[in-house]
Amino acid sequence: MGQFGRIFVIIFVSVAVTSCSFFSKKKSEEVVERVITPVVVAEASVETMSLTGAREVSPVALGGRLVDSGTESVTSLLDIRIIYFAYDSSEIVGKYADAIQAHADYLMNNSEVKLVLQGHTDERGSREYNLALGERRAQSVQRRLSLLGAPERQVSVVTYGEERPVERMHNEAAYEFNRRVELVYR
Amino acid sequence: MSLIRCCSTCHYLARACVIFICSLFCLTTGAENLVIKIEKGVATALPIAIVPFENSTEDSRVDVAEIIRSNLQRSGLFRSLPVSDMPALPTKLEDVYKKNWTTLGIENLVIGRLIQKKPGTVDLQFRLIDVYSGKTLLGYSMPVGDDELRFASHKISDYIYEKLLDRPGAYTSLLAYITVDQSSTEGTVYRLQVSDSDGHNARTIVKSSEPLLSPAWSPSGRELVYVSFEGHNSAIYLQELATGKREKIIYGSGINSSPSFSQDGKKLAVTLSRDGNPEIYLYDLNRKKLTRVTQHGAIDTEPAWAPDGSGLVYTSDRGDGPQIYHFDLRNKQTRRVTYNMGRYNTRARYSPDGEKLVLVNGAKGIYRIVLLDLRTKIYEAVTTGELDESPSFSPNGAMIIYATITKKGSQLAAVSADGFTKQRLVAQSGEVREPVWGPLIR
Repeated sequence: MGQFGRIFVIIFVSVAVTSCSFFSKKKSEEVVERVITPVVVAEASVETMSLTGAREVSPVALGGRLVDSGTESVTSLLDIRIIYFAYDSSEIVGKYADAIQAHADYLMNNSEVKLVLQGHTDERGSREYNLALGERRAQSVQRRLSLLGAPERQVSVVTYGEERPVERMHNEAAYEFNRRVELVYR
Repeated sequence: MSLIRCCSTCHYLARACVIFICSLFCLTTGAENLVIKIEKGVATALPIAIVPFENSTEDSRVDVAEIIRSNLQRSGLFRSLPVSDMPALPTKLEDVYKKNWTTLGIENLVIGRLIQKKPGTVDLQFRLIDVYSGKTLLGYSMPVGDDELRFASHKISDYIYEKLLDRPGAYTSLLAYITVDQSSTEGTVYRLQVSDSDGHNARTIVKSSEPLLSPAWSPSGRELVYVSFEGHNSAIYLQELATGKREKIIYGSGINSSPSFSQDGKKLAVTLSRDGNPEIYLYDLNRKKLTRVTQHGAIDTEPAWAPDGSGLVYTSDRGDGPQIYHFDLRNKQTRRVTYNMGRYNTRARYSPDGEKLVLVNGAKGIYRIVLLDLRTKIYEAVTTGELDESPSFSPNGAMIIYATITKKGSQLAAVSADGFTKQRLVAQSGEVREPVWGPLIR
């Protein structure tokens, strides 16, 4: 060691002293504490919320007018389970008015049925603000349902913000499909 | 990427060279590691040579000199001499010939040795030498466990950074971030991971099939809070890193999210919408008590504590679009912070010295990271967007880490606080988002 070792002894005390704790037993504990980090597995429950609603209650045709579109296919208003929104908006556009009425009627006539309104946004901007925007959209639908007669205790709201996109592309078309409220029956 | 500033001193920058360094790391824990790429450097970086350490131990898996070299290079403030350009490889002070290094313009030299002390313990010795004066600026001999060599390398990097730049290094601090993996047959898998500041040593803290978001460090660095949707609604969890023990601390109807620790670690600021619309609340972790802060029909969210604990900034859309507001905890006054900055300003976070805010600005539909000086009110974009989010300061205030959406999905990137040095942190699989930089390890 010789010269090398001797020089090490003449080290700047201040620097050595301030960092003394690093080399003490305390440091070792600190390092061990940081290194041992067990994996925690938080599995969500088996019942996942699928977009098509695995536990969806098939609506018996109560209420709601059948829309005659003039083509071969006829759509039940209750089959309309997604409401889309314009950018930065939670306003419900006119074309959904009849469908929402149909859902309100259905809820009024089936008191054991529960409806969850899931709010979503596109990916632009910050995640937490989007969580709030998603909720605002779902609440917008909730209020409309309520106005049209749906009992409040049967309707609840949850928001996923931008966390559950249906389209993962980063373009306007995808954004349009992601700005939505989904009606999920239980 | 070009840099937009209010007052430009960019001519020197324009001549900066592009430096690419790929650091490839082995998979050590089974979790994917981040690979770090440097995008741009600055010509005024401090030239330094870190000579390969003499290693007489049985184990040569950890290349201490390479880790230090990589760390310093990555800051953009140092220019590390590649080993292939070194005229000599001294490991002892008496073997250092000044002329070898001064002719290359190297001002600072680092040499060192690893000596096996006893099984499991290595004696790690290094010196930082000022080549011109011949003085030893720093010199240590430290006993280090075999499995602590990587951490010791980061520690040495901190010492060198601090000695030469007179600022604390952040190499021993940790990153936390969320990864989203859609490649498996199980469906989408979300992970909350913690890694070293260089992306190595990634460990999964939480794995879930439901979304995870908004991780935040406790001031001690021993815990993380985060939001999980495993209960089919947002809820806030507090988890101790060393033990994996976690507690569901805030839940209930509506939004339960956006947690932010106070500097003394005793309180959280959170966003709850249980009273009808999203509002800011404070949660006392000891007394488990909630106190409401905002009272407004608009969305109030994304609270962040000032480092001195005197107030909070948060996002509110009570005015023209979402903007940043400040709430003074002492006099209970609220005032708007972002003016003349367009109609979209969200997700503000304080710099460690409390003098700046980093936030997401979405003017004209371009989402980019903007730095706002709270004293001068001058703001500058430090990224160009178009889909940037989640900015977070390093604990020494030198760098800002954030997420950016590229063609490959969401990736992490970092930029120096002055906007000059950029680097990308590329995940090897899946998407990476919401990075938060842990506190300095002291």
